Amino acid sequence: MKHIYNKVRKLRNWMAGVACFCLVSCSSRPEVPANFSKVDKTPVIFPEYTEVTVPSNIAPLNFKLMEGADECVARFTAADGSAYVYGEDYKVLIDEEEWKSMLAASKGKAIKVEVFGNKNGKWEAYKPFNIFVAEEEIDPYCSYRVIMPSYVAYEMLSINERNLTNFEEREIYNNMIISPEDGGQCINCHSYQNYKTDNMQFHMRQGHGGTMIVRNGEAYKINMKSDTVMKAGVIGAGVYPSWHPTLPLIAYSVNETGQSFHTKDPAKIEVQDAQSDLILYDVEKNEVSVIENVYEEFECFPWWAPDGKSLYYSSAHFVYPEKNDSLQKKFANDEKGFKNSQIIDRYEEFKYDIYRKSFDEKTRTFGPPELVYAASKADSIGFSATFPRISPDGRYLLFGQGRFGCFHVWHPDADLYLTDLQTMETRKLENVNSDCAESYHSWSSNSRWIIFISRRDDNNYSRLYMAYFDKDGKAHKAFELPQEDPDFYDYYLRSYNVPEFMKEPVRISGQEFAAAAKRDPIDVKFGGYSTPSAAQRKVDGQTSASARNDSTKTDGTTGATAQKK
Amino acid sequence: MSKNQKFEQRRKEQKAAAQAARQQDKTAVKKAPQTQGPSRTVQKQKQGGNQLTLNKWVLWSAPMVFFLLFAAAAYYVLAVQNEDYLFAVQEHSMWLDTPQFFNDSMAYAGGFAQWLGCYFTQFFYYPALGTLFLLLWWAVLYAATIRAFRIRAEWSFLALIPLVALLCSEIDLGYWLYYQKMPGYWFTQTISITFMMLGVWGFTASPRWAKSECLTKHKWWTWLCRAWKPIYVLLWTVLAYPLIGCWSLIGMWMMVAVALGRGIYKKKVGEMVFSVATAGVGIAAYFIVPNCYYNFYSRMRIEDAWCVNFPLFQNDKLVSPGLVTPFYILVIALAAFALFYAGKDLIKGLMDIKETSRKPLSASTWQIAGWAVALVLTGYLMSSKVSSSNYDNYNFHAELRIHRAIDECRWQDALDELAAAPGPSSRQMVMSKNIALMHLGEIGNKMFHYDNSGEPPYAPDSLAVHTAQTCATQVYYNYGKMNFACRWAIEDGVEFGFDIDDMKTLVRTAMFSNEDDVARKYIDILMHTTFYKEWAAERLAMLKNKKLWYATEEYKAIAPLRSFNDILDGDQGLCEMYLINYFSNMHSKEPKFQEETLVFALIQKDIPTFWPRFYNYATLHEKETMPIHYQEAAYLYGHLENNVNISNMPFDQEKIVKRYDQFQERTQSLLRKGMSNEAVGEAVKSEFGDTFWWFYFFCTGVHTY
Repeated sequence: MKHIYNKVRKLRNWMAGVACFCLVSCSSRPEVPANFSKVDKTPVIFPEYTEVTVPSNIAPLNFKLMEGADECVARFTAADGSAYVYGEDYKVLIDEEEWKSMLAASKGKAIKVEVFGNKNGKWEAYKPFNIFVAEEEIDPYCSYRVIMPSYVAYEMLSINERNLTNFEEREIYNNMIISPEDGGQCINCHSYQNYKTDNMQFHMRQGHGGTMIVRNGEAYKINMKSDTVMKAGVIGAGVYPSWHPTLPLIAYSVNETGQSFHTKDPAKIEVQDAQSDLILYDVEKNEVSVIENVYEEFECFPWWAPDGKSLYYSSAHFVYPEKNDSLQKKFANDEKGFKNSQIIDRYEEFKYDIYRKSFDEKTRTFGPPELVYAASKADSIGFSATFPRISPDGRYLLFGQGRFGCFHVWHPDADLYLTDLQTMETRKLENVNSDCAESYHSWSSNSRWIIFISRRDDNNYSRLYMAYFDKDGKAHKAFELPQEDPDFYDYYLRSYNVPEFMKEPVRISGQEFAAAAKRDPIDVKFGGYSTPSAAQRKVDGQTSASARNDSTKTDGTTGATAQKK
Repeated sequence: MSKNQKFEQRRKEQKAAAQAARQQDKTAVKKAPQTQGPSRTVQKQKQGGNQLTLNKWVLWSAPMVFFLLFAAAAYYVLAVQNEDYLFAVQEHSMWLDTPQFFNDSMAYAGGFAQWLGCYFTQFFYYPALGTLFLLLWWAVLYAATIRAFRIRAEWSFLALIPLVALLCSEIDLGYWLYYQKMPGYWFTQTISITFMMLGVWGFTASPRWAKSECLTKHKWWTWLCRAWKPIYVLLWTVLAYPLIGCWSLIGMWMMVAVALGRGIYKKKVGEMVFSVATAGVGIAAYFIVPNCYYNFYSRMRIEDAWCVNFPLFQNDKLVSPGLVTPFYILVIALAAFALFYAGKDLIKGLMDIKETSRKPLSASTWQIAGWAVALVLTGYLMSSKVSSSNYDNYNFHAELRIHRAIDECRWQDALDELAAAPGPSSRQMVMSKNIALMHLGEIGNKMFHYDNSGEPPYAPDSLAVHTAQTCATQVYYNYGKMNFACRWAIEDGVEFGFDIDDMKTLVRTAMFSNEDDVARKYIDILMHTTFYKEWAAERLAMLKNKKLWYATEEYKAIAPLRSFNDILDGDQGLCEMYLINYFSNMHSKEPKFQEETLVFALIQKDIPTFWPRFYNYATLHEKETMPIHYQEAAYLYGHLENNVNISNMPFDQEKIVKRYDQFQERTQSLLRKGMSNEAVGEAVKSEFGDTFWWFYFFCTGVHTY
């Protein structure tokens, strides 16, 4: 037994030696090669961080060299002259503390980056590039949904929170915590009041479905599809939300959504609404009222102006035809089938314009729709503008524009556009768009940063990109959300969507959300009509709901392809 | 005297007493060999030289012999009988050597075992190699079980019960291969249970090493030894739960049983207190540890916290108690060993059995034991014929072989498999047959030479098997429907976990759709596997040099089927039905595509759909002989409906005109005799089963799924 004891002691000493060696190795830095040849080109790196402008509190921009080099070394020189060298195989992994000091020293200036690559034993020096550091910080947190680029199935769907100043990420809520398998739960758009998390919401469909409301830090679930609400003709529960900046009100669009599949187009999917309206949910009174419900108008994507005095939204005009003989014969008793066939056959006719409605905070009523941007008439062929988002300073309207439709994340031609609300001039946002889809954009609370999703990496998986938006209204080159391991995106099989900035983390755990979701929901009451014309349409029987013969499917996946879940 | 000195003196006294006792034992053995029963040394002394050697050998080798017998049988069942299945198993699993994959695995309780499970499952790429790894794990489990519960050599065959249960759990899945969600299932359970038994062994063995001389000289160690049981149980539960999930709790219960059983009866009060404390800690850990980890894992349901990493084979819609049975048997067997081991002293005490009454091992004992092992194995093998403990449905295995053949563009091999089927084929086999014939260019002449009926897949439980999960990706891919193949690869990946098969489909579809960036992404992922690096490297080369890609048989076979325009569509999850409707309603000038419109018109048995496609085919193949099945259809339809004048068509006199007359004459005469349609079909199948006519009249009621 004694010899075992001795062996244990030897092992202990050996392990201590290894630990010391590791410490020494970890603390050693790579060196810039003494001999190298110069290459007259900027290095190809991933993520693409050359000449980008970053906030002064962003996480380190780790990257990898994509030049086929066996190893690489990068020297970062901050504005104060301090220099740091990094390199680990083909990756450049920056020390967090040193990065912070470089950012602090380079505020309003730039960090110079020199990259060296070793190819077959010969070092090459690429043209140096800059990383510009803006004076303005970015909101420290961001939340987004991560989802496999799935079609109908939706296991492992979560809303995540990322600390943008470092690499910490956590799941705010993962649908697997409550109901996996066929009774699974789809969770969608989350929204916060004024970038704070004490008042927030997200929606859950199917298993333990309902709308999760967090009010003053307390989570509870409501049922927007209560009998009284449905009897009043609302077509479903809220889908795309927007919290009023100061009042306990949430504007929603209610959507009858379906999806069909392209047989050849790499876009693969077309997500469409067969109907959509706007509603207002009063969190205090637990009441829903109708904002817009015109049958031939597809109102969607509401967004409050930062002063809370107007509500922006997108709307498409689409008329279902009178059934001729052949249509009557084909869809005699199948109104749903008729509508589905129409929206599928004519899917390129859906072109959304941007409107706004004034809002009286005292009476809580809306004015008539006012056309802000007529995308459908923007060109001879017309475009479709979606997702209106007003900068918190109230100056700019940022929206997505594609050839048609409302779900631009699947449209490679979709780009971000900007309207100056002072001059009402609209332009394609420079420096941020690509040949692939850009969508789901959002402003930071100081109006200096925008975050959006882009599929530019591979045209299939949505990734988060951020861009600096300066005081002159100019957008700078966008950069991808940095990850600790630059290989991360290569193997990540999920897409990001609906990124929203936050000033603080969500304080409620996923387990608490799950517990709230399991409790019986609170039925929402119907509170009437927030727009006089909407009430009149109800009287006249011209609402979306009254025009619908089929009232069974009110939200979520419908149509020809919804068989699986 | 200081405390240390006292302690040192006490230690020396204990050492001296132990030495004296050992000396006394030796003397007693020498002096009185006839009165000592229990020790093997005594037995050796009792028996003659040759007998002693034999018995020693038997004792030493019996556990190994039992295991080797089992291993040989298991190897045959796995690597020989289920070779095709094991290859498919690794294609429906995936292990990557990336930190991200490890971190993703560790996001679940039991994730470490699943990560290891995926690692070892990949070795089924070579079924024999994977089987050997599995047998190695089972050997460790077997040894750990024997050692943990001090199972005597002659009874060690009982420790094979868990292994037999695991063997059943490996091969009884059938179509659950496509539906089970546990990563690396085929090794995950073995690894989890082995870890558990090693833990239990550590617990039951720890009294020995805890008293080792080198450690007991430390005072802190003496105190630690007194509290080692509850500490061990607590540490085990806390540390093992994230690694092996609920198996840590099962192991913990065994430890509690052992602690109570062996720590109370005829024990000092101090030891009893610590045994009861162990039970208390165990019970507390059972409730607290899963609850705590529930708050740690953001993806675990509270309902699953006590059964995480245990294969339940159930969800909202279906349940398969049969597949869980091996695990219940395994748990019951291990629990029985633990209880017997725990209560051994108690039973002896209650029954007043003295150590001296233990009989020496008789020669017949190991023989009985050996027979028992043989019986267990025979019982298992017999049961495979009457239950699903070995899912040996022929069509299921044939589907796996055909799937692989088509994946490797071995069209003729796929057809040979189909031809060898002893009974009716499944729809998947029929679809695969049509794909192989299509790519060989023989579909018009041979598609009815094979069975076209389509048996429903055999599922002994409530599992509803859909082609969407079993073969849709391959079928759509081979018909050029890349978006749909890609869709089902992703849908299945989302729902059941991404695997090699999905990744290969995603690479292929992306290459066909000219989505090079995303193809490179999937290739990169496959580059991090162990056995698909070469496949990925080949694809990467093709991606860089498209000429290589265009020169492949795969590309040449499928590219012509891509000549269609984009529309919005959906398959309702019914792959075959969609293809029938799609192709039979299409027109094309591309010969291969056009021929498929005709083929599916035949399958649809729709006469108005047939004629325009028949004429188109004739136009596109002007100077070629019309394939026999198209002639059969035209001749039949021409006679059934006199709307089309077929008198000028150059039908083959022998194969069509005369044979049709014979077919009519034979069937009509049988029908006139009063035979039912089905009976007539069966009667003429051997003669005319290879014709479209037989398919048209007698192959009815086929259900797709």
